[in-house]
Order: sequence, then C-alpha cells, then structure tokens
Amino acid sequence: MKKTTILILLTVLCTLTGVAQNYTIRGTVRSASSGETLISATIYDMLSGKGALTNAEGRYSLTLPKGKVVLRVSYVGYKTVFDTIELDGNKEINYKMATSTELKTVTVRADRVSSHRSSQMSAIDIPVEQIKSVPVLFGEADVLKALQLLPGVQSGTEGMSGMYVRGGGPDQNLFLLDGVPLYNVNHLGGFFSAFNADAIKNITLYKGSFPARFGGRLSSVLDITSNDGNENKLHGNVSVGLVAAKVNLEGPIWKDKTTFNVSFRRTYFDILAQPAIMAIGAMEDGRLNAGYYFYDLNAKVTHRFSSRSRLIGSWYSGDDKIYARMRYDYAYDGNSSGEEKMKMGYNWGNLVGSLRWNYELTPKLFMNVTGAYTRYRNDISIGLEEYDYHYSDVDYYKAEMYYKSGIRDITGRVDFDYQPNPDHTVKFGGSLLHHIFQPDVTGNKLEEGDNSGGTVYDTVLGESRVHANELSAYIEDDWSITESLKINGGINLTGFAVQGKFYPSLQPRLSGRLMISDDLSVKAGYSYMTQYMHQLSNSSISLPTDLWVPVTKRIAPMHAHQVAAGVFYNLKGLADLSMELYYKKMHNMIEYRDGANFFAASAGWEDKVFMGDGWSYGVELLAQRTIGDFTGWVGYTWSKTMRQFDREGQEINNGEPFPAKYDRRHDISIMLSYKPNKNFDCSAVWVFSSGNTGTLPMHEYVDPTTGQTVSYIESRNNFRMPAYHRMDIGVNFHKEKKHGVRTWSLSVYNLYNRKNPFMVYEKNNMHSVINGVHYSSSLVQLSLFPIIPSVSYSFKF
Amino acid sequence: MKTKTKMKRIHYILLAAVVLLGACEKPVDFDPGEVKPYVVMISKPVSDSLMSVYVGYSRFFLDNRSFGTVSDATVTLSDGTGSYTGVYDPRGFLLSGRHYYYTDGEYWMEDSVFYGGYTFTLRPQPGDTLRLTATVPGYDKEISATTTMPQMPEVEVLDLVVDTSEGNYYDEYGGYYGKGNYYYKVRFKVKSSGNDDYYSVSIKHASEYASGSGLTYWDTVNMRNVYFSVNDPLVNSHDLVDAIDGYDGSFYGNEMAFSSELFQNGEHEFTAIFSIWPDFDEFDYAQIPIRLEVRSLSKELYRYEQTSANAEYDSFDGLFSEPVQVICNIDGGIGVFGGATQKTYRTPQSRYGTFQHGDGYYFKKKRK
Repeated sequence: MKKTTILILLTVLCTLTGVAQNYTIRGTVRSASSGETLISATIYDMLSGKGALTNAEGRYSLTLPKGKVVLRVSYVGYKTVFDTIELDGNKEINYKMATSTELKTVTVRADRVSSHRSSQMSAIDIPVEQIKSVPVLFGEADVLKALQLLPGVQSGTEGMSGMYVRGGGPDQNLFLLDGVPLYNVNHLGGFFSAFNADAIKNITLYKGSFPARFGGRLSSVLDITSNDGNENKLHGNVSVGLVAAKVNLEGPIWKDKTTFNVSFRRTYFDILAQPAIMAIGAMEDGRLNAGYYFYDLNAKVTHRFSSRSRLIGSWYSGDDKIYARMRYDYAYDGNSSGEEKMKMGYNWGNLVGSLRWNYELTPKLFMNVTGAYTRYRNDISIGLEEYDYHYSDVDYYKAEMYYKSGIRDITGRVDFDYQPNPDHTVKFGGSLLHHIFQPDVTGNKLEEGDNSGGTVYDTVLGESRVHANELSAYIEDDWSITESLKINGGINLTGFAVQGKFYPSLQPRLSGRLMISDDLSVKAGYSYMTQYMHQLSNSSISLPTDLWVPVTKRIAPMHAHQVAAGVFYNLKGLADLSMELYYKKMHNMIEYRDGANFFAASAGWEDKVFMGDGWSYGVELLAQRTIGDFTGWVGYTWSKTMRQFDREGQEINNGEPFPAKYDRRHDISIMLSYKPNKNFDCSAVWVFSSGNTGTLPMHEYVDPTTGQTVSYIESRNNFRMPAYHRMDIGVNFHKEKKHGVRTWSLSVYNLYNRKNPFMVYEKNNMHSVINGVHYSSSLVQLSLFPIIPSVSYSFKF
Repeated sequence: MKTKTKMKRIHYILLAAVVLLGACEKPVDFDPGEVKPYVVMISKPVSDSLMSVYVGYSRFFLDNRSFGTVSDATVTLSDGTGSYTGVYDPRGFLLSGRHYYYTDGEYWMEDSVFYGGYTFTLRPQPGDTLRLTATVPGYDKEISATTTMPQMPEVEVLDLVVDTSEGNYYDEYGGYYGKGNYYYKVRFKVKSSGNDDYYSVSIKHASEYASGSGLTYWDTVNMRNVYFSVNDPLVNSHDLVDAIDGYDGSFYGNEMAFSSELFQNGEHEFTAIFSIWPDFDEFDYAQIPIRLEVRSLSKELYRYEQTSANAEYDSFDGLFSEPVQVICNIDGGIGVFGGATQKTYRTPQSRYGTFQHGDGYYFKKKRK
C-alpha cells in the first residue's frame, strides 16, 4: 500500500514537472498601439500542439521540450503572430500585437479561447468596444445592460441594472473591479450602472462552473479589469451625451515604466434644470436650490520595476447626490414675520482603493499580492428651522435628522499562477477580508423654544457595528489529460466568523471538456458556492437604502449546488453555436415575510425575513457570429425558477412552492451589428421576455365580525404581467480629424414605443353619478420608458 | 414619529421622481379566465356565549358588487356529544361601531350594520373541540373546519391609573398629537400555560353621556376602542393585530395580539398607556369608565386575525411591503373558524360614582 502511494505521488510529480529536458518560454503579450496587456491571449506551439493563455496580467509561461518551436500568438481582433525559435534554454519573449484590419470588429466570445475548446463553461467575455456599440437608454453605454442581453442573464424591472443569473437574486452576484468587491453597482436607483465603459479593459462573466479562485456569491462573478493606460503616448476621449459628460485620459508618466489612466463621468441634468427649479422656488416667494447628479472617477497607475515586477494602484469612487435647500421669508403684518429653512442631502456611493504587486518568482510561478479597501455608504440628512417673530419675541423650532448605513471591507489577498508544463495551469492562493457592517444609525435632534429659553431632545439609535472576518483559500488546476479531454478542478475553502460563531465551508468545483471532433465538444461542470452576506432590498426597485447585512447566529449562510452540461459547435469558423442545460439548488435563501416593510429594513431585520430554499433549471441557446461585417448573436433561454419556504414557523405561501419574482419562461435577445467601413457602424437589439410575476389578491370577502373587506391571495406571485419586448437601434458616424477621431452617435430606445410593464396595480376609481358616487376598480399598468431618441458626441485623440 | 414620517416621505419623493421620468399609465386588459368565487365561512365563537356563523361568497377583486350572504345553506355544528343545525338570522352579526355612508349627495351616519348569520344555542366551553360543516346549494364542495376552544387566559391586572402629570399624546393614527395633563396606564401580567398560547388585548372607554331616570351617566353600551401604546422590547408590529408602528418601534393600535413565544411561554408584564377623547367636551377624566379585555385565542384564530389585519395595513403601504396572505382554516372554502375565551376587567365602580344604572356609571360633572 505504501509503495503504491509513493508510486502514485511520483507519477503525479513527474506529470507536473516533466521528465524530459524542457525549457520554459515566458513573457507578456501586449497591444502594440496602446501597450495594454492582453488577457487570455493564446500562445500555441504548432509542432507539439501545446499552448498556454495569458493571465490577468497579460503574462504567460509555456514549458516545452528542447528543440524547434513554432509559436502562434493570437488574440481576437489582433493580427496573429507566428514565431519560430530554437528552444535551447529558458527564454523571455514579449509580444506586441497589431490590431487586425482583416478581422473587423469582434462581438462576443463565449469562453476564453473558443467556446468549444476551453474547459471552462458558462462564462462569457464581452469586448468593451462591443458594449459601447450596443444601443441603450439615453445613449449611455452600460456594461450591466449589455450583459442582460445574454442567455441566462435576466434583467429585473425595465431600466434597472439588477442582474438575475440562472434564477439567483441580485445580491448573489460578485462584482469585482480589479479583483476588489464592489457593493453598489447602480446609479440613480439602477437606471445606470457604476461602470464607466471608457475605463474598462476586460469583462468576464461567470454564471456557473465557477473556477475555485472565486467565491462568496452563489450565482455569478463579474470580473472587470480596468485599463492600465497607454504606455506610448498621451491619448484621450471626451464625450458629451444627453445626460452625462465623460472624459478619459491615459498615457505614460515615465516612458516604458509608468502609465496612468483616469476617467471621469458626471451627469448634469441638475445644472440644466436649475433655472426651472429656481423659478419654482420664486413662485412660492422663496428660494429653492435642488438637484441630483452622480459621478464616477476611475484612476489607475501602473509602474513596471522590471519585466518581472509591477506595482498597480487603482482607485474608484462614485457617488449619487440628491440635494435641496429651501428658504421662505414671510411677513404677516408690520410687526410679525417668519422664516423657514430646509436642507436635505442624500448621498450614496462606493469607494474602492487597491494596491497590487505582480511578481514573477520563477519562470513558472507568478505571484499577485493585493491590499484593498472598499467602502459603501448611504447617508441621509435633513434639517429644518422655523422662526416666528412678533415685535421683539421669537418662537423657534429646529429639527435635524440623519440616517447612515454602510459597509467597509479591508482585504488582503495573495494569488499564485503556476504553470509546471503545458498540460497544467495551477492557481492557488488565499485571502482575508475584514468586514465592518454598519446597518443603520439614526440620529434626531429637536430644539424648540422662545426668548426665555428652549428644550433640546437629542437621540441617536443603532450606533453599533458588526465586525466579521472572511477567510478563503483555494487551489485549482486546468489539466489537459489528453488531446481531447481537459478538466478544471479545484477546492475553495472558506470560513466566516461573526458574533462569536464560525461558519466553515468546503466548496468543490469541477468542469470538463471532451472534444468529439475538431469543431464539436461537450462539457459538464459542477460547483458548490457559499455566500455569507445578504442584501435587504425591495426586490422590484433598486433603492440606495438597500442594505448589506452579514449572516448571524440566526441567519445561516446561503449555499448552492449547480450542475451544467452543454454542447458546443463551431460552424466552419463562421459562427459558434452552443446549448447549455443547468440545474441549480439554493439553500438558506431569505425572503421578506408577508407584510414586511422595506423601510428602515435593517431595524430588526432578522425578524422581517424567513429562510427557505430555491431552485432553477433551464436551457440556454446561443448562436453568435464574431467575424465579418455582420456580427452579433441570437440568444434564447427557457427557464423555471421556484422558491419554497416551508420551515416551521417560517412558512411563506403556506409552505408551498411558488415562482420567484423574476421567473420567466422565455427570454430572447437578438443583437446585430454591421460595420461596412471605418466611418460607419450601426447596430440593433430586439429583446423579448415573458412577463414577470406579481401577487394579486384575486378574491375579496367581507368579515362580518369587523366589517373589514379582506383581500385573499391564493398564492404568492400568482399573476404574470404582460410580456416585455422592445427594439433599440443605434448608428455611429466616425470621421478622422487632424488630431483624432470624432464620433456622432445616434440611438433610439424602444423604437416602436412599446408600453412595457414597470408595475401593475389595482386602481380604485370614484365616479359622480346622479344619486351620489359610484366606485369601480381596474387593473392599471405603469410604464416607464416610451420611445427615447438620444445623441452624443465624442472625440478620441 | 415625525422623523419616521419624514423618512417615509423621502422615499415616496424618490420613487415619484423616478416614476416621473417617463411614467404613463394604461389600463391592462386582464383576462383572469373563469374565477370561481369561494364560499366564505366565518365564525369566532367566544366561550360561554351564543355563537353565529357567517356564510357568504367571495367576489373577484375587480368586481364591485356587494357581498352576498348565503341564507339557504345547511350549517351543522358538532361538539363530540351531539350535532346542531344553525338557524339563519338576517341580524346574526351586529357590526359594532358607527360608520358613515353617502347617499343623495349627503353623508349620513349609521349606528350599526347587520350581516346575516346562522345562530346556535350551544355555548361552547374552554377545551371543547368543535367541528363546523356547511353545504351551500350550487357549490360543489362541502366546507368544514375544526377548532378547540382555548383555556381561559391567566391574567393579573396590576394597575389602572390616571396620571395627571404632563405627558405626550398620540392621535388615533399613532401620530404625535401634543402634550396634555392626563393619560392612563394599565399594567397587567399574562401567564402562559407553558405551551404556545395566543392572546389578544383591547381596551375600551365609554365615550358619551346618556340620560336616564333624571340622571346623566356615562353610556358604556357602546364602548369606544382605545388606541394605546405598548413600548415593550418583546413586541413588534409583526406579532400584533391592527398594529400601527409608533415612535421607537413601539406598538400603537387598538388591539394587540401576541404569542407566548415572545416570552418563552412563561409570564410577562405589559404596560399600556393611552389618552382618550370622549365626545362630550366637559368631563372629568378620572371618572370615565375603562374596560380591559384579554382573550385567549386558538392558533387558527390568532393567525387569521394577525394576517387579515396585516393585509389591511399592507393595502396602505403595498408598494413598499410584501403582500400578505390571509391564513384561513376552512377546507373547501375560505374564512376562519377559531375560538376564543375572554376575561374582562373594569375600573372599580366605587371610584366613579355611587349609583349604577344599567351598564353605565353615574358621575358628577367636573366643577368649573
């Protein structure tokens, strides 16, 4: 037995290290024009059939036998590079790739290399340029709304950025900006997402078969990498749209050493509306100054110490601000007068700062050390002052109120990439997150009095913070067992310590790919995920008061098992076709109990929620064309998502299963883009989805003991709203000018003015009749967005 | 309360701003298919009292026809020792309290409204298990329900005082009303049987004068509900019937229902504080009769009362809260059949006068 074990260990060791005389080629793949590192570029030896991918830092490592090597370096949208070398020792080779002129624009690449060759399934990369070309509301490019067009990803309510991935809730998505979690990804209640497309380099969405390096959420991981900055010369982009203006600057600080990238976006309808708001104030004989705006600031500085060592500092801050200041003066007569002052501020937003050090320990081992700070806050303050003057007497009343909530994270993380040979890519690492939750603090100060004195009432409630520690360690291996069989397996071990309780979780992950032919593959995957925090929110409207709360002694962590399988086919290089089936079972989900009010949700929040289970299954079809003048995709999802809360004392819907709010049977999205030349491109989107569910009391009766008319609901989410569909179109006119390229973008949202349901409710009407009044009820649908044309101008230099 | 109301307003303003971005309403063509009405059966027997059973039909929620009472049903009650058939009485249920109605262009006030019901001569006792069945012509199912009358609540009234010190007043909607010189305090202790027990508490006061035999007295026939506050760490709105959130999250309503789970099925002392506004404008606060009613509820009645009250509350706040399903226990229909036992405590008579007439108390007018 002992000998067998040693033999197995030796075999594994030989497999990992290789026994022949091997040498390692390593280096970085960059864009020639900007110097940006390219993520997931392919380096492939055409003689041995072995290859590697660049990691998140654009670095690769490929260990091959001594001798002649013909490398093919490729990246979608760039000219493929062929390089023949004689491998007689370890080498560092850096590649700078030129943009392709033959391939035209590429739209979506499902999976990292090619949808049918990668062992990874249920993952989607979207080039940022494609996101910018998708026509959207108010002409503002939006990452999350573009993702909502993909199979398996559902939007919530129209116009909102909420993402519902394979039956999961909006709080089950992990948003990583340069590897650091971001909590609130919405502006203006969800009409815009917090990601400024001008500052982004790469976007990858995982909706299942999660690699072991990710954890902390049940349903998806959105991994966003921001631009490092052009290392050759100063570039910029200025854009002015209907609601926002943006500026982006990037360039070298120290040639070949240090680069920067800064983007800033701000809405300005508060400035445009100021005259009207002041006029309203004047109509009331007072002064009024009010408005709303949001801004995003992304900044990144990258310094290269050597070819083996880089330091990256990145910063994101984004806030929404609502403000109002009013003042009214009035006089009753010559001896009496008064004044009223009111001010209100409502601010919410994120701040993320991180410092990351990349270091190549050996040609095969790469290390990433990250320290980060994240803060999400939500502050409301109101002040009111009233004075009444009569001769020399004065009566006054002053009130101040504030409400604060938020979460802060301090993160330390280390990650390693180890590529012992072309058949293995091993990733391992660990992290420690210290969470500081401040669910809510409410302060009230009242002061009233007159000349002779006054009384002050000062109260502060909820000034308590909850500290929690989240530990994580992982290891994963992407292993090419044979030419046709490849697996990605790993383990994620996490633990969460809160309120003296420790929740451990061991999460296995496994996915595999079997090539049936050169063009056809089948894949399957399993993942187990655990989540230690919940977001308390009104599931239909994304309010800034949605709060993040940790698991507690009473509320256990959520966890989910997901299995998926799929067939992937490459149609003669013209299009990729895929079909994926999935089944996901979720445990310890929380839902508001019947009648729970969303306001001040954190006050006794554990009493407002019940724990239960959910499951979702479905099939996702995707046909996409990525090369040529015409590009785009057609996606279709059939799915069913249910919830069941049947634990004793925590029953919802009498313990019976009920459809989730966003249970939709059919989702169709068609995205087409046409770019005949460099001066013009256009695109169109059509989406269709079954209506969301809602709860309507279909019956009423009278209770004669109270006289109350009782509304009777047979089951939760028993009503389905009308179907949703709309078409958007957009055109871009580009023209090269002396100092750059200007672009006029025109788009129309909801081209055929479909009145889609935002919400449906019962409306009671009262009509005057001869003998009195008559009451009637009707069902009314509220729609938000009619046809909305928009225009924007940008200049890129 | 002011702060809380303002917070709420801010949210409404925010939502309004969002909606105003482009909102438009349109009626929905709603085809629910065939929505068959349910037969509704409601009975809430109180121990040692005659009981009535309401049988009617539900209606589709967009239908505004009046609710019809079924007068030709066969309603049978059994208590294990025998069966009894209910007799239909068009005045089987007196809906107490006044209500206003509008006709001929004017508002009118009516003192009482009746609903038809099936009456029984049986007076159920604590511990009795009752089964109720009803067959309704044209309705293909027999409907039935069972309840067990709970034991009498174990209650000790500790205190009933009128405090003349200055205190805060709340109006009947829970809003801060102002300061005054009189408020009342009722202190009582409830002791559970050790199992899950369910209770409801209400407080009433006589509201107006009546005259008889040449004397003026407080009319206690039509007692008016008191809105009282219970600032108790165990109590929150989800455990209450007809609850209106008060300042600091305390209960403020005219009926409080709770489960002994709140105090681990042991005993707990509650303090209720309230003010009253009798119709008569010249009165002596100290002489107004007060009544405390404490009931033990069956579990089915408790859950029904809790959910139906929350459903009504939700209808005012529906946009920002989850809808409430009323929990019924009628097989084949909807409604409730749940029993209660009640103990009533009144203010000491000696304190309010020397002569009792009927159900009222004589008093002396407050001297000016």
